[in-house]
Amino acid sequence: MGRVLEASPVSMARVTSLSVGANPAPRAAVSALSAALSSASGGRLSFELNDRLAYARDMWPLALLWARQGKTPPPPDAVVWPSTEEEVSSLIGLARAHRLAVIPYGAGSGVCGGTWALQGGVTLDLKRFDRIERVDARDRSVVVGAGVMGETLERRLNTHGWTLGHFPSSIATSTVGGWLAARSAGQFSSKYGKIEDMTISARAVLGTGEVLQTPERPFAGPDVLPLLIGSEGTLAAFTSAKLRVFPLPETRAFHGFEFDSLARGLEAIRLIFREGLRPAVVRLYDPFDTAFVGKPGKRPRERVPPSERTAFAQRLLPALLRQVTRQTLGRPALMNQLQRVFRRSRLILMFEGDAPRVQAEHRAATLICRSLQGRDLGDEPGKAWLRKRYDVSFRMSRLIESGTFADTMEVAAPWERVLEVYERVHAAASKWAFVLCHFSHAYAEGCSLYFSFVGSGGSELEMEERYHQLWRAALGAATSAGANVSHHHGVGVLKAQALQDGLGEGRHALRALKGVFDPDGVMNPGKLGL
Amino acid sequence: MILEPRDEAELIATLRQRGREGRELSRAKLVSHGAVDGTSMTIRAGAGLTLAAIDELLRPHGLCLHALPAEARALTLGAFLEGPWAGLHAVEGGRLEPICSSLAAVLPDGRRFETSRAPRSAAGPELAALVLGASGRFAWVTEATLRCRPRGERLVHHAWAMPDVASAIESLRRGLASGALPAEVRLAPRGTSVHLTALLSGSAEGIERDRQSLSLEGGAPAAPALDAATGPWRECSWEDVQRGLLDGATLTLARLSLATVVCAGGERGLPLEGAPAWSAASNLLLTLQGAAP
Repeated sequence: MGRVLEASPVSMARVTSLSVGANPAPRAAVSALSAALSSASGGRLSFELNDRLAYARDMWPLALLWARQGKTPPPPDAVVWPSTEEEVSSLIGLARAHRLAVIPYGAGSGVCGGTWALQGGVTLDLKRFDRIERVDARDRSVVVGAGVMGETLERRLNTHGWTLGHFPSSIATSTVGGWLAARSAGQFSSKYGKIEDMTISARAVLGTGEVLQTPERPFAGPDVLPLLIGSEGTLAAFTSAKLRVFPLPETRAFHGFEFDSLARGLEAIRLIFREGLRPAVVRLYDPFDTAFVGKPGKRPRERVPPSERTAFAQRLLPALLRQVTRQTLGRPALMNQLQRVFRRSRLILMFEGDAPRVQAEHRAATLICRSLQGRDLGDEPGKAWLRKRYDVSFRMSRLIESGTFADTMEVAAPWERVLEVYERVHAAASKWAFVLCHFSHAYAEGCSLYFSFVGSGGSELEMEERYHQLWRAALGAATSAGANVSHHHGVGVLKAQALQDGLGEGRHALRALKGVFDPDGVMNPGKLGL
Repeated sequence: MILEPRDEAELIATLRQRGREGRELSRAKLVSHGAVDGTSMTIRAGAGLTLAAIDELLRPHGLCLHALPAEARALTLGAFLEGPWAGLHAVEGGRLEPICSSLAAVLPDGRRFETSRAPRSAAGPELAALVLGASGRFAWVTEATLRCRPRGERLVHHAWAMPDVASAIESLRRGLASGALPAEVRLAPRGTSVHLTALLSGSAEGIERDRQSLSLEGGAPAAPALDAATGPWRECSWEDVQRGLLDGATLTLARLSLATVVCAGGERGLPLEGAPAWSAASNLLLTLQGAAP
């Protein structure tokens, strides 16, 4: 069995863009299969340019930088919307026979280019797998189609008194299948776990075309499910999952504290988890975030859509703003020096569940924070955060409008490495961008670090160059200090090289898995470095 | 003849060597261990150490492994991770974490891989799954980082008389979902009612939190009764536990989770000794198998 498609890791330098307006036609080899593709997808097939362009990108900010330069990622040759496992299997069979790439697609909210059609092919939009079965109350589980949107699922569960406890900021624009493919986490993961902790079993169509139902415990032998979860469409396409659900919490308790230093705040989290407490939400903001960004209670400014703005607001003001931001953010080291003036770090805790447990854990956590001289901020910071927790994604477009680049990098590390990871990433990234960080998704043995970068440059080309240099520097600093390459955003194209480098000889084991599940290399080629 | 490499490097060199056909490889001498990390409450230990020996290494640091039956503690780390115990894999929700946080393993050709020491990752497939429960057929674990917890200040029994089997099981499941973590539970049917005893360990406040969480279904407080249990141990679904109780069996549960429990006293479930047959899904991976070490 030969390898059909490009097998070597794809680095960002090799991702070729197209000019907006290039509008490439589908490859002849794919168009020629129109009848077969239509039959295999129940007639739900499109070669239309607008459909293909819509599926060309996800939410990787590189595409926004490209948009400002009049560039776009390459579109797939076709898009299909299968609704049965037999159809997915047939489509994969066609791909194997005709050497086509197949790209499983949920809602396209990944931030690493995981669904980009690097080698053309056919995008499989799986949103028609949209069934939500009745909750099994005794088993505390629910079977859900892979195409179900997160918010839809959570609302349906709520109407029957249940919650999944999975609240990624993309909940309104991400699917269950996408969650499994990327090993996602939600804001309440410290209590409910990540998606891999919630998945009891799953169904998937492998790159061989076989349909697999993973077994439920207890069973003997290695577990295939953790090999498929996080595979980002390179081994299989999920069609449904059985997920653990919890009763809607009886009560919630919020508490905010401010500590003299970041180290004290981290110690508070560590001791809280050591004691066996499990707050649903733990968020510790680094000193700059605490001083400027983390403050709640600002009245939101009225947003006027671009088409309704005055000429001044439309053109002159943004141009002025760009100049100002380029002067300040163009010298990020200067801005980052200011951070040394600030020392205090703010911690937000939220507990939810049965009332006696919530009260007891809340009380115990408060004692721990006070023992570290945490200044008591009451419940308002936590409540304010909860009210605005989905707003963050919408701030990105304002930043892009003002002529900057912005991105986030999230990694995880054991406790003994966390501060060093923070300091090394800060030092490395400060050359290229302004750096903010918060710590969340906590565990007994460590936590996740979530960096936000904002930068600028003299020209669009210079900004893109800085963007790539920033990622190389920041991710390299993180992994050399003992962090992993990602806690929950995944790898896609953006971190493929870092993943391969970090695996060392382990990449042979990963490649061997690829050979088992996708012997002809049709499944999402180029991602994860496969 | 049995070859016993003294460390990972020697094991790798041996695997790469030709001409060792007919000679068995053993990890019995892979007994080195790293320093106990009190900050993250972990220890890195060689595959040849028994869990009981690892627990003793933790004692001076005020730490211990999560509660496990004596039969499990007698196993080497390699056998515990690669055999049917499968390292007591991830469990959904609550405070329960897989015992093994990361590991290093060698492939049959001597190549080595190591999983991340970060608590959770989104970095592709979890390669530890090639080791856990795989009987060493794809890779051999050489060392692993194990999650530990503070050695409990105290051990306390609490007991309840539950009106029936359903309420006894619901009491445990609800307690686990709420965050309770009993070290051991004994369920003894008495007519239609069930006597439930839980062994709780930790700080006084922690024990009280767990007691409250296990009391959510009601049930009258009762005198504890927890005899020392012996195997054979099986991994059971809650359905298996329910059927066992309805059959009148007295069951001891260790390492409880929302998905499965490890159970003694019943006849259902997956035996945790010997080499039970693999599931069909697990057999899919057999094409990965190279020359067995």
